[in-house]
Amino acid sequence: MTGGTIFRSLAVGAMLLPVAPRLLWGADPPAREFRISGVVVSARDGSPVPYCRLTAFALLADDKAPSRNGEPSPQRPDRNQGTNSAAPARTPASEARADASGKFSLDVPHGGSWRLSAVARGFRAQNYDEHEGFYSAVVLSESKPALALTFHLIPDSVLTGVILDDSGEPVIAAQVMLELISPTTRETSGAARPRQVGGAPTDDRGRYEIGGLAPGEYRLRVQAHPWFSIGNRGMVQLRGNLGTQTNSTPPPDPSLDFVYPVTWFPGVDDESTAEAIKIAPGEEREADLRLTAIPSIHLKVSRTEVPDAVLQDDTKGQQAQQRMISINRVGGGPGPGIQQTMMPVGASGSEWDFGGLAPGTYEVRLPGTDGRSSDRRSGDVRRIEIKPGSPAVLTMENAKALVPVQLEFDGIPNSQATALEFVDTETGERIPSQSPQRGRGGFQGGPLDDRENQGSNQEPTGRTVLLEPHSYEIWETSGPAAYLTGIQSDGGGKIAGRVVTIAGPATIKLHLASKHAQLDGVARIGQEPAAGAMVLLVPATFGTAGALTAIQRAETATDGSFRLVSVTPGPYILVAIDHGWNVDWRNPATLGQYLLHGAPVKMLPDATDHQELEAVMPN
Amino acid sequence: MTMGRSSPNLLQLAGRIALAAITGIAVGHAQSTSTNPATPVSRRLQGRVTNALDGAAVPRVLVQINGRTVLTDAQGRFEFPDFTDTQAFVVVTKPNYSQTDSNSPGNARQRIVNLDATIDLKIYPDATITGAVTGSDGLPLTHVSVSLKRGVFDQNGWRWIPTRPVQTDLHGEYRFREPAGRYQVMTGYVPKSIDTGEAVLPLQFPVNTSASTSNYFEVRTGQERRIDLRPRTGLTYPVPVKLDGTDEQRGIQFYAVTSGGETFQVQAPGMQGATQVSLPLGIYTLHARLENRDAIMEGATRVTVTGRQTNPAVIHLEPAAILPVELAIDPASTAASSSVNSLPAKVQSQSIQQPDLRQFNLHLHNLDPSGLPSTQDLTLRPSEEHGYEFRAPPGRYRLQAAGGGNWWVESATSGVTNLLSSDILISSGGSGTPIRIVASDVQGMVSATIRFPADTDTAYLYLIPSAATLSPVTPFTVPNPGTATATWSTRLPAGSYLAIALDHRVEADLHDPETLSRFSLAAQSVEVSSSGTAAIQLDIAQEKQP
Repeated sequence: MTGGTIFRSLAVGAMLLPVAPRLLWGADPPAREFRISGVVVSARDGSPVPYCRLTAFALLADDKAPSRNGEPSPQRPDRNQGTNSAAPARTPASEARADASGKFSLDVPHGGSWRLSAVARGFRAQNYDEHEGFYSAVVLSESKPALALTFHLIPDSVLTGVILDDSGEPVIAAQVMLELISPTTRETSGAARPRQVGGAPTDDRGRYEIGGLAPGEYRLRVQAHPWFSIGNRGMVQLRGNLGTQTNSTPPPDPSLDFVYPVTWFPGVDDESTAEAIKIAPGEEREADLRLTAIPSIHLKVSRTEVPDAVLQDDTKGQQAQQRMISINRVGGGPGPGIQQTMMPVGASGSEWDFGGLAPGTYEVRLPGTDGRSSDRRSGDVRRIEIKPGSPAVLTMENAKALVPVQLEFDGIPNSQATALEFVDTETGERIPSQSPQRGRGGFQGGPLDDRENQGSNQEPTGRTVLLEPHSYEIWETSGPAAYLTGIQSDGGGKIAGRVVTIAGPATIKLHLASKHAQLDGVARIGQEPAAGAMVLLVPATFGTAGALTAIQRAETATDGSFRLVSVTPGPYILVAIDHGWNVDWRNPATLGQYLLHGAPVKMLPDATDHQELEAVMPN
Repeated sequence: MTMGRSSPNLLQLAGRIALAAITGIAVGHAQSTSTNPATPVSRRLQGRVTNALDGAAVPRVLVQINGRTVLTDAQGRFEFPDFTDTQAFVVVTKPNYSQTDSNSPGNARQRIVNLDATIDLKIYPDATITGAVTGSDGLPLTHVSVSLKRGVFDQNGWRWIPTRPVQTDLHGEYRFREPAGRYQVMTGYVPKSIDTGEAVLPLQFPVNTSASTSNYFEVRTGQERRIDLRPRTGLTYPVPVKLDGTDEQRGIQFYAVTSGGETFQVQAPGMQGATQVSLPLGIYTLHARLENRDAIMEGATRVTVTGRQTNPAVIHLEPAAILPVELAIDPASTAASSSVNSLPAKVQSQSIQQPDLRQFNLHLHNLDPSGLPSTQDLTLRPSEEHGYEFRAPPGRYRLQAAGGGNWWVESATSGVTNLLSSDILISSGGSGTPIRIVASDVQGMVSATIRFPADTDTAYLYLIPSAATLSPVTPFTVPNPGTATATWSTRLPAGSYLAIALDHRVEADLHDPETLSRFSLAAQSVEVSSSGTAAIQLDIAQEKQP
C-alpha cells in the first residue's frame, strides 16, 4: 500500500467508493478555491434541467475501519441501492441551485473526493454518473481545483393503472407492488430474483400510481381481499371453548367466502407467467388488471396439534399473547389469508378452522410445549403449499415440518453473534438467522468485537434455524467485519461452496475471519483517467465449486481512482471496463472474455494493495 | 342498550360507518307495539337497495340481516328465504356508499319494521373531495400528507374526527371519498420537500379563524368538491431550544403552532446536550411536552425565526395538575340500599354490581385546545395513590361522560363547583382539587307512543333531561311500523325530562330553548321515577319554515 493518506468514507456503500489514493489534502493552502461546475441535462434528450438542486457531500479521510454504521457487507447477495443519497456526512454539505438553463457552480471548502447529488422535480435524487447504486466521486486537487461536468439526470418514470374486480367494479385499497427484474443489484452471477422496489394502494376508483421509477424491467403484483367476502376476514377470534365457538361465529356463507389469489400483470396467478413491464426513462406507463375471486381455501388445525399444557395454561397478558397459532403467507410478502389467531384457553372442541387462504405457501406456527409461539429459531413450524385447484379444505397432514439445523461458529471473538442469511437457491426466499440478543434487541450488524452487545453469560456456542429441506446459499450479514472462510456440515446437510443442501436435521459449522484486504487503484485509458468505469474484482476460483469469495464491484472517480474495501483475502482477477455498465458480467461467458484482459491480484489479510490498470473497452 | 352496532367486520369493510362512535346514555329496552309474540313464521324476506340520490337500483350491495348475508342482484334486489326470526336488523355495505347521511353517531343497523312488505333500503353515495397542493411557485407538491377531519355532532357539540391521511400524487393531487357531512381539510408539515428541498408548512381549510365564522365546509351526498391548497413553503433555520423545569433530555416532543393556528410536530435531534429544532421563517408558538411514567410536563414559548441566527427558545416545563377522581354512591341507589341491609361484605361484592369509575367513560374535554394531539381530550388514568386521576396541563376543561350501563352520574363536583354545569379551570402552577362523582342506579320507565304521518319513515325520539348532565343527549330511532303509531319503552335515570319526536336528527344544543322553539310542537314534560311507567303521547314535530 501507499504510505499516503487513505481516504475513506462513512457513506453508505463506502467500501466500494472510489478514492484518490495519493491525494494529500491535509496540506491544502487555505486560500485555494475549489469548485464543481457544469450543467445538468436530462439523460433522455439532453435538454437542460432547470432549477436543479445540487449537493456535494465530502467523502472523509478516515483510516479507521469502515462501516461502523453497520452497513451490510459487500458480500451480501443484494446491496441496498439508492440509499446513498441519504448517507450522513460529517462535513456540512455544500449546496447550490442550477439556473434556468441547468448551469450550476458549487464552491466546496476543500479538495478531495465529493459525492455530488442532484434532485429536481421529476427526477429522483441521483449521484453523479450513478449506475446500479455506484457512482463516480468528483475529485478535486491542488493541480485540478475546479472541474466542469455534464450531469446526466435520468428522468423518473411512472406506472399507473386501474384494478377492477370480475364484475368490473374498482378494487379499493388493493396493494399494488412493483418488483424490479433488471437491472439487478445482486452481486453474484446466475439468475437473480426480482426485488420489490415500490408499491401503492388503490384509491376509490381502483387507481394506483407508482412514481419515482428508474428505467428497467419490472413486474407488477396485486394483493387484495374481496370487499364483500366476510367469511374469512381478519382475525378469527377463538376464545373460550371450541364447542361454544361455533355459536358466536356463524360459519362463512360459501357464496361469499372468496379470496383473490396473488395476481401478476397482465392478470395471471402463476408467477412464472408474469409479464415483464419494460419502462423507459421518463415514461408514463399504464398497467391495468382485473382480479378474479376464487373460493377461499380453509385449513383445519386439530386441537391435538397443540400440547395439552398450552391449552390448559390460563395465564393472561403477555404470556397468553404467545399462545397462538399463526398462519403467515411466505414469499412474495404478506398476502391474503394472513391471520394471527389467539390460542383459546381450555379449548374442548376438536379443531380450529382458518379461512381466507389462497394458492401460495404458508407457514403455520404452533405453540411449542413451553407455550411460546414458534419462530425460525425454535418450536413447531410447518409449511403448507397450496396449489391452484387445491381441495377447499386442507389439514395439517398437508403441511411439512421444517428441519432443525444447528449452527456453530468459530474463528473470531464472539463469532456466535454472526448474523446469517439463508437464500433459497430455487425460490430466492431469504431466511435470516441472528443470535437471540440481536433478534430481540433489533441490533443490526456492527463490529463483532463490540463486547457491549455480546451478552456472553447466556450465549451458547451455537443456535438453531428451522429450514425446509431445500438448497440454500449461506451469506454472512453481520457487516463487513467478518467473512466466511469455510463451511462444513454433518448429518442431513451437504456443502458445495456456500451452498448447503438440507435433507434432514443437520449441524453446520461456520469458520469466520475478520482480517480483510483492501484494494486501491487507478484505471486509465492511455494517459487519461478512466472516469465512471466499472471495476470488477473477480475471484480466481470463479466458476469452481467451493469458493466462498464473491465478485465485488466499484466505480471509478473522475480521476480514474477507485477503492475496494472489506475484500475477502484470496486470489482475484481485476478488470476495469470503460463505460461498462451495460456489460452482462453475470453471464460467465461474457465475463470470461473480459477476464482475459484482467490483472491477477493476490489480496492479503489486513493489507492494502495498489493497482494501476488500463481500462478495457466494452465489446 | 346501545342499539345497532354493526359487526366489527362490517365496520372495517365499510370503513364508513365506523365514524359513529357510540356514545350517549345507554339505557333501557325498546320495543314496538307491532312486535308479534306468536309462534315463529317462516317467510321470505325480500327487498331492494336503491341510490338515495337518483333512486337507481344498486347491484352488488352486501345486505346483512341477523347474521345472514347476500349480495343484491343487477336490479338491486335481495331475498332471504326461510326467515323465521321475528325481528330483523339490517346492515348494508357497499364501497363508496354510506348507510346514512347523518353527522350524528347513531345506528349503523336499522330495524326492519314490516317483515312482510318489500324492504326498501336507501344508500347514499359518498362525496368526493379532491384538490391540488401547490408550492409558492404554483407547481405541484408531491408526497404531501393531506388529511380530512369529519365533524360529528353528539350534543356536546361538534367533534372533529380525523380520517386516514393520503399523500399527494405526482400532480400534487389528493383525493378522498367520504360520506356527506362537514369537513376540514389540512396538509401536513413536510420538513424537506423532495420537489423543492424546502419545508412545507401545514395549512388548514377553511382557515382557523375566530369561532364566529364557520371553520368547516359541507359536502352533500354524491357531491364532488374541489379544494386547492397552497401552503407556505420555505427553507428551515435552526432554533436552539433551552428547557428548564426538567433535567430530562429524552422523550420530549416538540410541536410548533403557526400564527394561523396549525399545529405540527417538529423533530429535535439531540446534539450533545444541546437541543434544536428547525423551522421556516415566521412566528410560532413552540410547545414542549414530556410524558413518561412519572410525569406529564408541558411548556410553551413564542419563537420568531429570523434566519441563521435565531434567538434561543426558552421553554419552562410545568407539571400537569393532578386531579384525583373519587366515586361515591347515592344512598338511594338499589345497590346502596342493599348494602345498608347489612349483607356480609363478601356476598355484597358478589351479588351487587358496584359501579367502577371507568364505566362512565369520563374525560376532560379541552375547551381551548392548543391543537396538540395530547391535549384534545384527557382520559382517566389509573393511579396508585388515588385509584383514578386526571393529569391536566393548564387550560379550561369540561367534564364529560358517556355510557355507564345501569349507572349514571348524578353529580360531579370539584370543591364547591358543580361540574355538571361549570367548567374546570386549571391555572398555571395550580394543583388539582379532587373531582367527586356521585353515581346512582335509580331509573324509571318511559313509554312513548308516537303517532306517525304516513310519509314519515323514522322518528327520532329525544328525551332531554331538565337537569344538566355529563352525557350527551342521543335520540332513539323509532321506525314507522306502518300502523300509524309505535310505542317505544326505555329505562332512563330518574328525573325530569322534555320529550319531543322529530323526523330528523338535530345538530344543535337541545338544552337551548331557542333550539326547541324551531319546531312546530312544544316538547312535553315527563317525570321519570323508579315507581311506575311514565307514559306520553307524541306527534312528530316539524321544523318551522324560517
